[in-house]
Amino acid sequence: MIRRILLVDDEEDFCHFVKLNLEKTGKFEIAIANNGAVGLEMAKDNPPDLILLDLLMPVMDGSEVAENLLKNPVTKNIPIIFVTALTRKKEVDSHYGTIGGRTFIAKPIAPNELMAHIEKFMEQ
Amino acid sequence: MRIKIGTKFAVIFSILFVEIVSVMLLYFFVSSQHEHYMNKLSKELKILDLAKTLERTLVQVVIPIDDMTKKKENFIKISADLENIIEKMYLLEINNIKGRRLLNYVTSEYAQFKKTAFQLFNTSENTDETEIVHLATTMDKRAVNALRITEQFNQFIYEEIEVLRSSQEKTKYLLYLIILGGLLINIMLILGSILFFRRTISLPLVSLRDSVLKIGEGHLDIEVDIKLKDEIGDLAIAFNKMIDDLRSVQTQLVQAEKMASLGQLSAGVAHEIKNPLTIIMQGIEYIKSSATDAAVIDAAERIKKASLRADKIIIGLLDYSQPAPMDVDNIDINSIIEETLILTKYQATIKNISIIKKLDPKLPKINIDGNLIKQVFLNIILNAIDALTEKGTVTINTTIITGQVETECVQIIVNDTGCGIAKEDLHKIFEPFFTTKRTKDNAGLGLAVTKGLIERHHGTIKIESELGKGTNVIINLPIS
Repeated sequence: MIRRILLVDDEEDFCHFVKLNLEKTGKFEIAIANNGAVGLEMAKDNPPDLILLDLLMPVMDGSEVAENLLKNPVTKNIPIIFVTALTRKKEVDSHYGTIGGRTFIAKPIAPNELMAHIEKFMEQ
Repeated sequence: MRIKIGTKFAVIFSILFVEIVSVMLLYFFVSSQHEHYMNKLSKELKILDLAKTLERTLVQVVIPIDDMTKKKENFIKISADLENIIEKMYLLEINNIKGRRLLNYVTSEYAQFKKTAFQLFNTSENTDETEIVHLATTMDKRAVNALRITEQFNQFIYEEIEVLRSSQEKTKYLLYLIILGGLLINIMLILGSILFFRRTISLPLVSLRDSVLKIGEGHLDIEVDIKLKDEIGDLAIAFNKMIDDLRSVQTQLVQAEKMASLGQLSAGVAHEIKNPLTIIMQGIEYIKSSATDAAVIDAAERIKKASLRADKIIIGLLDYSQPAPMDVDNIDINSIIEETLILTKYQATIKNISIIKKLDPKLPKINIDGNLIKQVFLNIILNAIDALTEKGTVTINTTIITGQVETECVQIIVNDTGCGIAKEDLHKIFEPFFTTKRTKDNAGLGLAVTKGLIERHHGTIKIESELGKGTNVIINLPIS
């Protein structure tokens, strides 16, 4: 069964390579949104199995997207993994109180690591 | 010898005072002596005057007058004068023994003369002619005698007067000498004290003022050179210490400013670099997994490693410039050292390095972030091992430092017998990106991070080293 993942990140090249690497495994199908607002719309229109959400983005940042997703009954149960260039958990928490306790992945991340995270998350 | 300014003033003014008082006393003493000579001289002059009159009068007596009646009249006239003169001379009280004796002698001769004269005048016409002649001769002889003694007396008084005159002259010159000498000594003393105060107070104060002005203009490279052992000397020492403190505060400020801007810069740069780095790592993975050519796969692998290295540097920079909050606990430093030594055991063993522990078992537990301090020891011990070739020694010493002016400390000394650090490198050793062993895994942040961590614990770190002999890293961490 192919899992659908929505990747919301303003770095187009990052999205491009993550899509290539993940789809190459044949296990995932990746949809890409380059800003938070688009990502939120896409999640509502076609709810994915998992969302990879960047924190620092123009238009609407990651924490705001996450809040909106939680408010909407259609999207509130979709698991989210934050992907950020912020390094430390405490740093992330201090910036984004609402996402406290959620999984986040620090950039730069190697594809196999990212894969491991995703698979671990999917199992849960 | 230490002499206070007040004491110097007191000594100099005392010397001036004593000098003025002694000159004045000497002046009064000599001037009273002079006065005394003057009085004596005027008395002697009066005596001389009388004596001369006496002599002149006696001469009149001696002049032979054949006519006895005339002689008698003459004598009666003169004898009153003579007695009058002699009485006056007695009244002047001649103190000198010789003078008095001579005067007595004159008086007695005069008395004899008078007696003979009266005998002569009382003779009647029937008195023997020879008797009369004899009396007359005796009378004249007496008069001549009296005259001779009077001359002697005069001579004596002359001499006295000469002596007195010369003494009086002497005291007069002595008085001039005292006045001039006193003034001269006074001027010299005043000039001397002016020069002394100029050298010990004015000039040092001027030099201090100049230094203060220079500091005001921002020159902190000066030092006051005053070697006086008094309050001004103390001031100079305190002043130099202040300049020293100012210098070190300025250095710290510059360093802090550098760190702050470096912190901001590195945080911004780090976040900006992480994004492209992520793209590189993702892209290279895709190339690696898609390629069939072994050379391409190898190239991709190398690029991946380089990216990981860049990431490590960025994390180090962030650790240094934006340290994470501390997780403080009451921990035994010795146990942290033991844990660190387990981590470094491999590196020590492969280089055949012996690690000597001299850990004080009485060390109190102190409030530290165990992980951060472990990172400190790890950095330092690995540095020590790096500095050693085969068969060196690393000694780790812990003690309690007490009795210092500052707070009580736990002191940790890590010593190695390795290559040491060149003198010109020592002051740069804690600067970020400074390293003496640049390799691909070492960006030169280790000691900079270490120093930052120690300072966050309010401790100090110091490195003493001699090229070819080894290095001491001395860490002090406050107990409370």
